[in-house]
Amino acid sequence: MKKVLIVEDDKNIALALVIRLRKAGYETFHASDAVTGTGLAAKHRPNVVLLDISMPGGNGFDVASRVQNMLGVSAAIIFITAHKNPLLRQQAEEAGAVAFFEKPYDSQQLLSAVASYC
Amino acid sequence: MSERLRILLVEDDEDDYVLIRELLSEALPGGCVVHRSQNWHDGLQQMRSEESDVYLFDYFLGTHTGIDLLAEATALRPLTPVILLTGAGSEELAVAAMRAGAADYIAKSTLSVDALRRTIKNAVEKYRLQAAIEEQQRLLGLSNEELVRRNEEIRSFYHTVSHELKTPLTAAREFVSIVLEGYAGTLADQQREYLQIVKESCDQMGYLMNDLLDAARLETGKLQLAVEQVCLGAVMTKAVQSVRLTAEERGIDLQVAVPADLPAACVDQQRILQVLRNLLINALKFTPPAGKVCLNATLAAEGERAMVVSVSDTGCGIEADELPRVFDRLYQANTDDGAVRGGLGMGLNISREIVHLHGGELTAQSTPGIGSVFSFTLPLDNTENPTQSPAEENQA
Repeated sequence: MKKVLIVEDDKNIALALVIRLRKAGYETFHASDAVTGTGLAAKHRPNVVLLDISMPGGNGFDVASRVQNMLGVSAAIIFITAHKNPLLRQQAEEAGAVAFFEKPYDSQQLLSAVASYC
Repeated sequence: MSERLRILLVEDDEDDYVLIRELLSEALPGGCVVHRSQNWHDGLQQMRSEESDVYLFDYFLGTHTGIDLLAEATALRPLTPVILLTGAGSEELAVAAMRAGAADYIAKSTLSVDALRRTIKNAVEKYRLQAAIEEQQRLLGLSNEELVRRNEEIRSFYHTVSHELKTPLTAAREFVSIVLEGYAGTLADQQREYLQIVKESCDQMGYLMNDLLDAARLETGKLQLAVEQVCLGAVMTKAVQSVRLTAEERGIDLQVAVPADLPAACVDQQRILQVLRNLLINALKFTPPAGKVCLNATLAAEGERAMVVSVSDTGCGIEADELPRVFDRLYQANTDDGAVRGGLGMGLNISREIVHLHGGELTAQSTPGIGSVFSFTLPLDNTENPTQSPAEENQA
């Protein structure tokens, strides 16, 4: 079963993502902060990491860089953020993210982005 | 001038000193306190130790000149006027004194009560005005710094509000969608219908929040474009698709026409989509059932290297005197029709600014009772950098 790691500090959004991804047949793991997120990535080696940008214990870019150091390109990084700053999108691209979503996101587009990297 | 002026007179000649002191007591009706220094060195000490309202320096001061002392005065007490007394009456000397920063000069040969009174009065008033202006400028500078700081605070507040409001909104919209999509069991038709309304309301709230944020960004010159080469036709189709349902519900014929040879445009896709949606939603809002709304793109007249995108409708139209105001921020159509009221009144203002940031213009034409056309130009292959902020653009 393909694995998706969700690193998102809002528990409701995380739960909504878990519900959809499990229904779509993925194994999911959730962390609410950057440190736990990095730990779960090391332990479960997910195929896709869904990353919030602002969260406790370091931002999503820190997590992305640690995950890439550990897992290389085998883990696809997708950012989801409530910030509406074009610079963040650019920064995400530079960090090697395969997709970028703004909250409120289109869940169908998000699911198909996950599917194309699993 | 009736106050007692403190005057520092640097004069080495005893006779001249006596004469000038007498003239001064007559020239200044409020009286004056004259401190006399006999040489350059004593004058300098006096300037250091005490404030004066005006300095009167003789030109010849032994091994120094009044201009040497003037240089010291300018450095020590820049707000105190210096009047130079020139013995020789040479114009060259006077010019040199004025260049060196003297407030004025009097040739000793023309010394009189009137000359002293006029010269001192003018110099003191001029310097006082100047000091007042400088103080005002300092205060202006301070309030400007304060405004910049406040502006930054507001921007950062909007940023936080955006983040904090969008997170619960996303969760609300997601869970309604999850229930609607049957993840939590089968829904009755009525339940589905009501939840659909909740979802649309979440979307509406999302658009309104974005409008508010954009308005704040435009105000602080922080709205930036993420420009890339895009196929404008695809963006137009996307915009039309996003309002297709609204058009069908209102029974309006919605059409899109893009010429096949339209070249790629260098634009911020999301922002242009936002403009197109704003224009389409407005057109649908003001067009009655069985009306028609058209989205068109064409190349501008030859030699202009631009394309023209327009949204036309067969709606109620806009009166000529209202037309120039529709782009004003917070403009709302003056109507009692509940179906067309609402919104923040910022859509057209934001749209015009976005088009402006792209180097184009958004304009409106309308015939009451017939319909309106909103069209904007977009330069092709923007050679100038279209990502500059409006503040920078205004300087151009």
